[in-house]
Parts: sequence; structure tokens; C-alpha cells
Amino acid sequence: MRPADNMEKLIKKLRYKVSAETHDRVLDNVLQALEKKEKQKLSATAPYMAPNIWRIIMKSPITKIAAAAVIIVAVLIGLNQIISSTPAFAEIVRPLLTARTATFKITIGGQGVPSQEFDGMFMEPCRMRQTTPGGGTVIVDLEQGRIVTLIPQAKQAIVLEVTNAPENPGDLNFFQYIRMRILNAQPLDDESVEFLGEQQIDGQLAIGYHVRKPGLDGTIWANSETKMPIRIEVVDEPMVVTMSNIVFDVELKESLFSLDVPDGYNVTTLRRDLSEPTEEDFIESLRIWAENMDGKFPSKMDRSAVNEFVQYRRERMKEEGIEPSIDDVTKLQQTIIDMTHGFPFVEALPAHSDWHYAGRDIKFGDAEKVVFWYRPEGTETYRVIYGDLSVKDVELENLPK
Amino acid sequence: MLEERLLLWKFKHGSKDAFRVIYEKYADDLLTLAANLLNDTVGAEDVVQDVFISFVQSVAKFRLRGSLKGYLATCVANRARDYIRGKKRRRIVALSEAEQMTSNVKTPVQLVINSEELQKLNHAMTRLPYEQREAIVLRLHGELKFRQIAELQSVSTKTVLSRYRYGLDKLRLILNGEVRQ
Repeated sequence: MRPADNMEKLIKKLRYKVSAETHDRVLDNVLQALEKKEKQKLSATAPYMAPNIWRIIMKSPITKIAAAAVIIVAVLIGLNQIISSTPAFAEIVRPLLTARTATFKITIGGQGVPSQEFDGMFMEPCRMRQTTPGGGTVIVDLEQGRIVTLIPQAKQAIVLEVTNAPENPGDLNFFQYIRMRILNAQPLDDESVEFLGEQQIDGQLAIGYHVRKPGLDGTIWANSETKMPIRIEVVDEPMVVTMSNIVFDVELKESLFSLDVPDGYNVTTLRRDLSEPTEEDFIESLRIWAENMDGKFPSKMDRSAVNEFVQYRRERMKEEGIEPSIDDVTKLQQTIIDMTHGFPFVEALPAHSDWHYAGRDIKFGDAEKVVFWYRPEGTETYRVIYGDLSVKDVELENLPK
Repeated sequence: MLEERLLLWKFKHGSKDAFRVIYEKYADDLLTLAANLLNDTVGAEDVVQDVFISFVQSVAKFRLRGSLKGYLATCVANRARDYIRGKKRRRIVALSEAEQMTSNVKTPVQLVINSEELQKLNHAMTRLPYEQREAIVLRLHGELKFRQIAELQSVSTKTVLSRYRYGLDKLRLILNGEVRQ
């Protein structure tokens, strides 16, 4: 007898392939049907009512004299609409959402977030190249599961092998990040889009919109004449990502996004798991943090906590007179990568999970003190993580005050 | 999923390239699904073409809930039923054997692996009651959830699970020669 799972595997092998010619034929037929539909739509809207109204007005002897006035009023109304109307928001964001390629500058800032600036290039489906002012280059290609960083001055290459990448990990591709934020906010109603009027932005006369909707808090400025976006700012507390100097659909060579490391570079390989972090991953992150920070936990639970870690490690090395070798730096980088994997678990918790972080002054190993608690979806009790990183289910009334 | 939504958005705004990407992404999967449902490769091609035509014609009003592949797979299942009903009607009217034969001659739609074992399985699939075959094919090739298949078949999830299990059991019996061929 075949076990059921073997049977399922066998059925999955019942796959059919189609010749390229057949695909072309079907695709042609479908596109022809689409064109036909579009033509029908055009012809349906073409014979609009205006000529009939015109004929009725002009045929009526009573309205003949009034006709001129009617036309003038109609023209004025039309003119007024043109003057007072602003280009639809959809028109402004369309180049961003449809671009195959783009070049731009990204500035990252915000309270407690280290300021960063780099020039970026994007190529579909989801590739990005960014160049830092120091001359370093990062190429992100998540379809290939790789992020390659090249530091020409040091002839150093860092290859980050990414596993479990979600379809659109925005943090690794800021162009896609901004694009997806705007796309996910669609459809936008009048209440969520505020027209900011006209002003000079980056030396150009620009019109602006501010969009505020769950999942998107952003401002978009577009050239008043061309309606092409010139500056896009997305707020993702505490981080603010700004895209400027934007040029869409420029010719970019594929080689710019090559993941091959040039000859003569020292290659360091690191690994990053991009799967959705679980509670267990979060606890592991706390453990790595505490073990590398002399038994302390993060002073606060947000993205800026990483800076605290890096700063502390750097100072410790300085104090100990350690001049880090490439191996030391590689190890530290891998530690940071592993340590940061679990923290997004907290970011992803919904507001009603009622999470609290209280680890600031608690020592690693203290089984009496509570570091973190939250209420998982659909439960009445709370998950409580203690200083020794043990976890218990606790009733609301027994939580720390 | 987000990539799908972006493609859809582009297609809705007039990008035929976006449609080509959607087509290339799903055409083979949908043809496999249709061919397994119908056991008729010519019909499968027609069904998939009809599904895509219907999709492009209604895309302006289309709102994606869940995955695009799941939506298209459901459309294929519905069309496949219409096709089977139509075929039955045509047979009743006066069908020449020639038309039935065309379903089995060499067509541009072919099995990727044409082994003896898979040929037998293919044949065994045709011997399942349609609801069982549909449950199995939609689950394994359409990647639909049992709940979605239940909605499509207008039965409870429990019934779909039973159909799926009975179908697999029967296939196993047929292939092991325990059911008379």
C-alpha cells in the first residue's frame, strides 16, 4: 500500500507543460480580447450627450438667444474646474508604482536613528544597488537570497546569505519599501489625503500631498508641471525615510546589480534568517544581548536599541585595547544579525497585546524580575518573560504593577 | 502576495507587461489544474484561455481578496465544471466520436514527466467521482485550502476532507490493483 503522503507527492507530479507557441497563442488571444474590450469602452463613451444638447438648444427659437449665455456659463464652469482642480494623487504616484527602474537618493533619519544617506538604484523585480558616501556599495537581490557589500578601499566583500526572505522585505530595499507602503494604502479616500498646495522643493515648484492612513504616514511632492514625484517622505516611527533626486525608468545595466564579487576582494560570508520571528526568537535575541552586554538587557525596546549595542561593544573593545581583526568584526556582525532577528517580534505585536518592556535595570539571570510581558491573540492570560529568560502564563492581576 | 498586488495595480492602470508577467507566472499551474480536472488537454487550454479573457475583461472591477493564484484556480474550477456540462450537452445532441478522440491525440499540452506510473495514475484519476477528483486537484495543484474548496463545492469543510481522503484511498486501491480496472 502506498502511504497517503506518497500518493499526494505522486499526484503533484502530474504536471502539464505547454509549448512556447501555445503560450504565445493563448496570450495573443487574451490580449486581443482585452483590446476589443478597451475599444468597446471607448466607443461607448464617445457619443456623449453634448452634441444633442447643442442641437436641442439651437433648434429651439426661444432658447436661441439664451444659448450663447448657456455656452459661456458652461465654459466658465469648465475653466473654473480646471483652475481649481489639483492633479489626482493617483496620477502623482503612478510613476513610482509602475517604474521598472529608478535612480534616487535615500536619507534615513529620525529621533534616535543614526542618520544615513546613500544613492540608490532600483531594478525590477526587487533588486537594489546603493552607494554610500564613503564609496561602499551594497547590492540587494532577494530573489537570489543575497546581499553583497563591497568596500573598495579595503578590498573587502561581505556576502550576506539570506534565508526565508518574505516577498517584499522593505527594510532591505527602500524603493520597494516606499512603493509598497503607498500601494498598500490604496484605495485612498479624500479624508486620508491632504493637498498641501504649491511650494519650492529641491529648487523646483512643486505640489504636495500628505497621506495619513493606517500603515502610511507620508508626504509626496511632485513637480508642478510634469507631475513627476521629486521628494517622498515616509514616517515609520521613529524612522523617517526620504527619497529625493528621483529619476524613473532610466536605462540601467544588469551588471550594476551583479552579485559577483570582483577579483582580489577578501570575502566574508554572513547568514541572516528573515523568517517571521517568534517568541522563542525574541527570547534568543534577549539572551544574545545580555551575554554580550555584561548581563544587561536593552534600555528600551525599539529599533534604536541596536545602536546601543554597537556603541557599547565598540567602547568595550576600545577600553580593552583590542584592535579588532577582520575575524572579530565578522563575528560581531554575525552576532548583531542573530541578535536583531527576534526583536521585530515585538514590533509585530498588535496594540491590544498590551505589551510592556521592563528590562532596563534587570540583570540577566534574575528569575524574580520581569523583563517583558504581552497577551497573545485570543488568550486571557499574559506571557511573561523573566530575567532568567524563563516564560510563564500569568493572570492579569498577577502582572507587575 | 504584495508583488501580485503591485502587478494587478499596474495592469489595472494599463500595463500589458504586468499582465504578461501574471500570465507567465500562473499559466502552467492553471493548465495543469485544468488538465487534471478535465483529463482533456485541449479543453484545458480552452478553459485557461477563457479564465484569462474573463479576468482581463473584468479587471477594472476586480478586488483581490486572498491570493491571485487562489482566485484564478477557483475560476478554472468553475469553468471546468461549465466545460464538462457543455461537453455532456454536446454529446447528447449528436457527438461524433472524432471530437472525443481529439481530446486524447497529441496536443501542445503534455505531461512534464510521461512515465508509465504517472500514466496509470492519470487514468486512475479519471475513475474518481468528479467531486473527489476536484477536491484532490484543487488542494494539490490549485493549493486551495479545504475551506475554499468547501465554498466552491457548496459543502462543509468536513465533507471536502472526506472527499479528499476517500479519493486518495480509491486511487491507492486502483493503483494497487485492488479495484477492478
